[in-house]
Amino acid sequence: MQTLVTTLTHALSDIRAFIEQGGPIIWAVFVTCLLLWLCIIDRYWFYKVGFPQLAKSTIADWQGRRDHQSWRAYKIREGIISEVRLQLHARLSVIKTLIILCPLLGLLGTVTGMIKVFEIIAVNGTSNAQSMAQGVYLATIPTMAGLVVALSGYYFSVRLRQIADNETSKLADKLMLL
Amino acid sequence: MKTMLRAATLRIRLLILSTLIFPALLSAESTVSQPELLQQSEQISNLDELLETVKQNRLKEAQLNREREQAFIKQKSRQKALLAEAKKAFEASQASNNPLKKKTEENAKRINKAQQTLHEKKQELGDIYSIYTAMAGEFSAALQDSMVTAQKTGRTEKLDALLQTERLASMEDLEQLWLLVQDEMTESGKIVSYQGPVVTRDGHVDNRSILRVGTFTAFSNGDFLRYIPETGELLELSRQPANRYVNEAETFSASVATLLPVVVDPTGGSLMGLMTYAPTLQERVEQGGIIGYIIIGIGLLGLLITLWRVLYLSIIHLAMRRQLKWLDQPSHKNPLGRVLLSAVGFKAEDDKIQYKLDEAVLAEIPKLERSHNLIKLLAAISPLLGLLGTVTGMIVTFQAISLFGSGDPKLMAGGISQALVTTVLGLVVAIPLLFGHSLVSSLSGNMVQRLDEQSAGIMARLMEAQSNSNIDHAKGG
Repeated sequence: MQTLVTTLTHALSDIRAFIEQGGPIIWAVFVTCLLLWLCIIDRYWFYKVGFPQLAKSTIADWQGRRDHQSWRAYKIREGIISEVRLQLHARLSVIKTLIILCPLLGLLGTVTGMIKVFEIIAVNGTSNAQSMAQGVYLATIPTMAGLVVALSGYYFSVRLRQIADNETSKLADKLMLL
Repeated sequence: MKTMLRAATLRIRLLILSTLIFPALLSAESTVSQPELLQQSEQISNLDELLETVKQNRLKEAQLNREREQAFIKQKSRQKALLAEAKKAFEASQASNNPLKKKTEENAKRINKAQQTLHEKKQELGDIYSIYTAMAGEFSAALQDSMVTAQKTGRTEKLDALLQTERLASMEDLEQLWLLVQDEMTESGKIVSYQGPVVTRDGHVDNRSILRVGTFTAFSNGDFLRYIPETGELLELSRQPANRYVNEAETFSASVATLLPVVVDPTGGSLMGLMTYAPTLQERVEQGGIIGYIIIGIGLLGLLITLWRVLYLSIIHLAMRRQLKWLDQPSHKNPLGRVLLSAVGFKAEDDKIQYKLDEAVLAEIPKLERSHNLIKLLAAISPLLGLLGTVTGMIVTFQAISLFGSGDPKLMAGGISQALVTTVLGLVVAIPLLFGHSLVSSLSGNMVQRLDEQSAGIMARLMEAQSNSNIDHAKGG
């Protein structure tokens, strides 16, 4: 127990040091990353657990109808498919936006880091490379973090959209017009 | 013959002149002979007489000389006796002088010896003295820079007094220096709290309780203080470090005899001093110049529009949800209600109903998507403006270089900071606007899709329910 607490505090202080080295932008990247992965996990959860039940009940509802051929039935089917598509595609645009934002945040970090470097130059001159390195850390770490987050999320954003489209068309196929 | 005569007369004239001048010269010495000579000169009337007088005078002079010689010879015999007497006296005094002379020589030797020993001793002491002065000089600089001096005033004066004495350092001086060094050493390892003067940010001196951690850092009321060696005062830092550190300092000052973490400046205040150069957020924004303010204006405008759209869309979203629950009572106050109302009075089999619904949905779409493109436009413009600021900043930088050369990086730093600050502002504005645009467009997109694809379905369900109830009614009746 004691060792666990100490390792945890060590890890916390490491993270804190990393964040301090990267500056406040790291926090923004961190929050974006958290949001992104929450959305991705939520989507996978929905596709694996929530959606099959929804699909089953929707199909059952449709099969329970007497009328499958009239204009009304056609429109109702369209409405049902649209509702399901909305549910399947929910938050996908948020994921996409977050992935676009990550490199922008990294760029912001780069520029703020460069400002730090030039501030140090303004105070110390160019002679002190060691103190300039601090600003370079500030510039590079958020960029790296932003790119890592964006790249890690990019595959999932494409894959999730594919899954959503597939599931929508599969459900549409099952809602047969007799 | 004539010339001879002339020469003779010339000589005679000269002789007369000489006889006239000679008595005149002699007169100062022998006033007695003057009347005699005057008588003679009066008597002289021709050359023969003159010759006669000259001859007589010569005889007289010879007589006189002979008399003087006689006197000298007489004196000479007497001097011999005098010399013998003097020699006797000299020998007598010499005899008494000799032992004294010996004594003087001995004394001189002793003085020499004593001086040599003194010199040797002085050299030994000189080594000690030079070490003492070097040490005191070095320590004086350390003492000047030490934070402890603010607490214990008068230490530097004491040391200066020790340094400035002309005489050799005495045992007391050495001890005093030792005590001062020892004092500094022990103080540098202590955490002390005391009452003392602090120069506040607005410039007046306040008597406060100060907590000093070694020679590194001092706090007062949770504020970090900076020691100024030139005046020996503690100054409140105009910019305090991050809140985390200030809070730590505050709890540290308040606690007694507990172990707590606190930030110290190992450079003795120069790091804390550098920190005051870091510009605040406001100063940073000011560095951006006009373009920076334009970007901020665009950002504010964009945020206001986004906020307005989000509020509007969420209100409409709620209204549509309510409408979905009460489909049989379509209301004019929400888009779904309006779409449903547009189809009232048509029968399900009527082809026109689809057109009517489409028309109603088309009328709703602009209201739902209003200003979304404006938000997108603003989000796209702000990084471009940031780029513009970057370029103008670089122009300023290169102007500075063309005027002053690239020797001083500090001159270039101003333009560069403008360049970078505008870029930052552009990004800071673009990121939330992009996010806001995505939020707003997904909200409105969902609603448009609902209206477009589901309104007909909803309509159909409604009609079906009504006809079913009619059938039920008919069956029941």
